[in-house]
Amino acid sequence: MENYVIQTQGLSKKYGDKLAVNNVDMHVPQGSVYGFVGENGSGKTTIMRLLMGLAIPTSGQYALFGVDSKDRKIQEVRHHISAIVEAPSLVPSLSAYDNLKYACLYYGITNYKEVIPEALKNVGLENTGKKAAKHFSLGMRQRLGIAVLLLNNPTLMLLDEPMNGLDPSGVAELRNLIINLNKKGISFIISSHILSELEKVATHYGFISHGKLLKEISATDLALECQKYTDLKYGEPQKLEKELIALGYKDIKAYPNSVRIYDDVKPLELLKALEKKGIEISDVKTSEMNVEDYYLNLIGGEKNV
Amino acid sequence: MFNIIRASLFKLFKDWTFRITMMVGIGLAGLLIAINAGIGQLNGQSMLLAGVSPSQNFGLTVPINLVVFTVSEFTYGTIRNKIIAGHSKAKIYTGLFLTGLVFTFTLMIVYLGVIVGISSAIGGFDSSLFGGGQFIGYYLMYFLASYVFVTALSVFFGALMRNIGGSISIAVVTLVVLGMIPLIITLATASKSFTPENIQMWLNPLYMLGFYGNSSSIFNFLKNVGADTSVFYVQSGQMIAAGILTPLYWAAIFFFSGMLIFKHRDIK
Repeated sequence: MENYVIQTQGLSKKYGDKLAVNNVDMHVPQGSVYGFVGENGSGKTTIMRLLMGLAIPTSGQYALFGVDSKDRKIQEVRHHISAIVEAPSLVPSLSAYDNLKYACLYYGITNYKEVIPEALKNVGLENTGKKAAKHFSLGMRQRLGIAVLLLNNPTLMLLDEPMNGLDPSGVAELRNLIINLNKKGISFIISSHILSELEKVATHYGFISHGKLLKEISATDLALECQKYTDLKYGEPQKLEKELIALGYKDIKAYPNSVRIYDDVKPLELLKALEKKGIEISDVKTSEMNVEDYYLNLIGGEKNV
Repeated sequence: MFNIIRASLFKLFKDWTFRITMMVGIGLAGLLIAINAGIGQLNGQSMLLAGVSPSQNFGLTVPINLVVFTVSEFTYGTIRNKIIAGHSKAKIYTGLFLTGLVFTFTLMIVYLGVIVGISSAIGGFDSSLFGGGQFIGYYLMYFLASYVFVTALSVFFGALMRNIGGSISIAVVTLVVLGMIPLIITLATASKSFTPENIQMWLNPLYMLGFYGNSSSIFNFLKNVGADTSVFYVQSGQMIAAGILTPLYWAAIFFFSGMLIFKHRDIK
């Protein structure tokens, strides 16, 4: 049985009459990078806030590392979790060093004099001196926020839009950091609108819309579902399927008025070959889905975003 | 708990608001000294009494700054970090309150140090006014109790409203109104069947510090105390016990109800 760092059951959150999170059953496997995909206001941040104890569920429950949210031990478990929800929480008038010292104090880290310079170096803020965090760029604040997260050696990190405000090199650095930390066994939940970046790190996905978790899928299964295919429109699909097999295509699926080929296809050559066998294809369409297409497909098109 | 308080104190003492408050406190102390020197009433002991009313000058800088400190935990989002780090909401709220107390008493020591020190150096320290050092001990206890109440009230409004302007207004207005209650009750209770002292004693956390010239004001009480010190101690002991207990139980009401509400509310 798979170990889950996070598991929810019927988790719901209502604000007034609005159901922000609707009966969510979520499963985040240990060691995974769980990409949380959904439109603005879909409930991603609310779920993160519920999991971090910042908001109280209206109904349902969750478990962190197998410990139920109502169990007293949950506070102990939270010591091993770090999160940036919405934006990094920093004291604007304090320097990067002092922000980290403040965090060390509430984490109970006593050897902060050794830990902080290392943490600053890891995120490239070692030369900021006494400059107050309020004068930092958005990217610098984001990096300082991540330095705070890493102080307590977490085993699970929740990052809400971590790439916001980062320049391309910052995005690449963060991506590498996530990959390296994940290799060390840290699990992640990452919500991001930059799906192309999410695709580079995610091992699992959760797709959410209007507070409902529509689907959970591993990156491997998603790749299979998103793989490139060519649709050939033809009135007698069984006949076409036989001819395609004869031509050497293996990964084929027949539909009522078409045949889908998942193998590599050179359309012009294929059409000529089929013409010779007396098969005239009325339409050819080649498609490849990415995560965004998959999500849009899942929610029924862009108009539903 | 210790970690939360250590962290909060670090943030408090590093933050510019604390330094500004200190400067304002010293400025107010200087102003009060100048005014009393101008009217020829500069004496260390009278300045000690005049300087600590929670409903006037120095007293009002305390809730303003406590509210700023408390609300900043929410606006900066640092309260989120503490929850995420696994600290319970009860501990966090208690940490805010205890940090607030340290802040209040630090400010008070600096303020009173300046005001009593300078005025005693110039005008002397007349200890005969209160019939001895024992009373000073009582007096200090109940103004400390009053500031425990002021701290509980300020943290309560700051943590629950999470809005600097609104919380300051409500906290300050509450304190000023409480300071005026002795006068209001005296005016409202023309009939002798109501005893203003009794009503106030158990309802008004700032009872003893009603500086509005009514009969129950601590100053009038002190002025009216005769030469018989045994009567003085019995009477003052009863009043002072009530004066200490009243702000403390109100502080407890605000503290525990604040914690309860905080525990059951979402954090943004």
